[in-house]
Amino acid sequence: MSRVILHIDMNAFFASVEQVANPKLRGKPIVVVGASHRTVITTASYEARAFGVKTGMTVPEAKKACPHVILVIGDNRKYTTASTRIMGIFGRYTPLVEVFSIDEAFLDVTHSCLLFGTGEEIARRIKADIKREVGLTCSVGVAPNKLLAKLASDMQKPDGLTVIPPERVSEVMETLPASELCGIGPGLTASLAALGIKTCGQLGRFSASALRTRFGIIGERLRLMGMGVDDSLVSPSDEEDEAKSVGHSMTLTRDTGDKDELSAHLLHLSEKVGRRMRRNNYLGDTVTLTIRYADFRTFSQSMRFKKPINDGMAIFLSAMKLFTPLRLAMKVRLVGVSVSGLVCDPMQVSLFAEDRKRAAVTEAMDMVNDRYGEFTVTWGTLLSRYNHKDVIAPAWRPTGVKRVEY
Amino acid sequence: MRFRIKKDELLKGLSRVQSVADRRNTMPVLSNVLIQSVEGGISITATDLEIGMRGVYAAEVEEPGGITLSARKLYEIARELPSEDVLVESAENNWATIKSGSAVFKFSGLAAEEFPALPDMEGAGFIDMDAHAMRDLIRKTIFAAGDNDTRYVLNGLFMTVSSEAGGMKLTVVGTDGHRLAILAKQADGDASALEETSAIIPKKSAAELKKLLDEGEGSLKMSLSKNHIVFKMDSLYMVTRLIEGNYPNYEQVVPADNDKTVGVDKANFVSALKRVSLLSRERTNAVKFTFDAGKAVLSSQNPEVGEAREEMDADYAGGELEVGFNARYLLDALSAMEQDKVTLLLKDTLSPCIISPVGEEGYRCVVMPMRI
Repeated sequence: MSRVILHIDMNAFFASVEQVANPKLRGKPIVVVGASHRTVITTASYEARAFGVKTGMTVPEAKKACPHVILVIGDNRKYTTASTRIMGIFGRYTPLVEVFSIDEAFLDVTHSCLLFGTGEEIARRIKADIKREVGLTCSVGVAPNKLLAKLASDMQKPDGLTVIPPERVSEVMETLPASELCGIGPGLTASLAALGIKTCGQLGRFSASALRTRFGIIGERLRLMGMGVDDSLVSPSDEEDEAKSVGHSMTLTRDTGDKDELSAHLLHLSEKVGRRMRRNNYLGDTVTLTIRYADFRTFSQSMRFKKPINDGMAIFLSAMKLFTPLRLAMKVRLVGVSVSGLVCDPMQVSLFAEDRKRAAVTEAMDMVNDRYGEFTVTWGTLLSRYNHKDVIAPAWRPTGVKRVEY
Repeated sequence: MRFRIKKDELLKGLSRVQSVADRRNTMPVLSNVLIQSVEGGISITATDLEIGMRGVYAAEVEEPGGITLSARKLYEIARELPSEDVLVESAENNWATIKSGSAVFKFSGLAAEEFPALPDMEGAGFIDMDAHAMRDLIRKTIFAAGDNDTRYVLNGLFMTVSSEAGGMKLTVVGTDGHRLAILAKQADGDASALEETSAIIPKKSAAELKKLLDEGEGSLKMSLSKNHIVFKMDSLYMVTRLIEGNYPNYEQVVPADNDKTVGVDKANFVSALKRVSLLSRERTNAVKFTFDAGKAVLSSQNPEVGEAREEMDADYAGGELEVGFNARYLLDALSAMEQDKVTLLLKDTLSPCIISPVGEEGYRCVVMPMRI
């Protein structure tokens, strides 16, 4: 039986969320940028794209292309909230939702068709739900597998709906440039072109053994991709393997060699790590510190402790054991803290009153921050000299240990 | 140097210091043993700079001197020697030759002068100690001592010695912050010669001392000064650097108002605990107890595996009480107790439980609950 897979891609996600939140931005060219001055354009609204503004441009480049472009500083909390709501809508139609990134997901609705109609009908309902409840538009691709669904969602933007039914697959693939397929980048495109392969049709008919000789084990897969075949399953994130580590890193707004400043960042990161560990009931006994120098040389150091921990201060003090003796070779660009050796928190109560007090304080802080937002209650060090906006990590997920609160 | 020694005597001396000699290789000479000629034989010394241990063994010294050799390699060789008679000889460049039967070993060591001297505590005030009591004190408390990265004081046993009419009182406490064991004992002897009356003895040293005491009854002498504790047993000498710092006020964490008494048969309790904890949540050993008139129900649950439940008789008259414990902590305490019956003193779900054997005064274990 042929599968029915949806790929849903939110249109200009961050910019659209900002336009929904602030009516004054609607219909105008806006770009979302990070808070730091190292930042580039994260997302441009369709109005800005009309002027040639693209993701990845620097602010001066964007202003040159569109002088009246409006800069909006990104607010990650808005995006993760919207994303979580959207992913919730998907859950109404199928439990098989694979969150691909904050604004993209695959849905396997093969068995939902009995309840809700065809893949195309389900796609329309999801689009309507998202428009009505969150105010956003998206492009949906409906196809027999993930490869084609992703391809289809890309075909019409914004607010698109493209169906590639099984019987039309070979027709679509015949003339499609191979470079349009997710997973075939510029390098691979050039190598294929050298073999005389330009379209997917050609790729699908090419000799499997010749592809294997040229590309090794992925040769066979390339040929299948050319034929529009993809057996990979939609794997819901809650079926992912147990987490092996919990970590955070940040690229600094400007490179620095100031150890006091860096240790404030480490405290901030350690708090975030601890918070996420506690939310997921983890303790861990190995703390890793990562440093990336201005020249991108990166190294990590780990230390294993006898007692597993999950409170931010303990993680920070452990990270400082690694950081304090370090002699920085040059200014630092990125710092990261992670904890591994994870075990389930046994919720053991402590014998000494001072330990219980500390646990109670942590618990109270967590409750306040759950309700009023991260870092509502935090260390004084982080208040006085600290104003760092986070970037949403590519690994962000709406549930489980990969959910980071902003 | 050159000496002849019996294989068993050499093995005895080497096996005692195997776990003292440092294998971490921070200072190469510390993974060696120092062998020196002394009156009546040889001495074998090892140290990791925290513990130092020296023993004198019968040997025929033909040429006095000293050498250091790898503690591990020498022990491995000694174990496999073919004959009872062993000849050990060192050459100028710190090479040693070991001959036994038709086997000959040659391997290199380091100069005796490189070996750090053990602190000289001969002048300290030694008192006679009851070896049997000391062994009991360590055995019944050491399991509770911690492995703590930040609170080093918990990585040792806290010992206090006080003079009492007709003898002295010894108290040893171990805790890791989740559970605690206290044993107080009356012993013969006079504590007045000691320089200090309390000490935090590193867990490893206490374990080493217990091993020596396990070898058999002998006379034991002890001295206690600000930084060191020294034990002497016949021809053995062991010196340990103490852990510095203030031990927490342990009396404060032993509750005085636990009013719910549960009496259980120890053997039944231990086997039920072992069974039920098999299905505890991964690595937590969490077991839930529900005490009710005349019985205790033990249960465990692991969402990924399943659940276990067992009901056992208990001498209990209070109202229903639910509390969770780490089964490991209870089993450690119970297996240190010799009596057949034990008493649990409880208060509520989040208060500590006191376990004590019926018939042994002065021995209490305290275990903090888990939130289940």
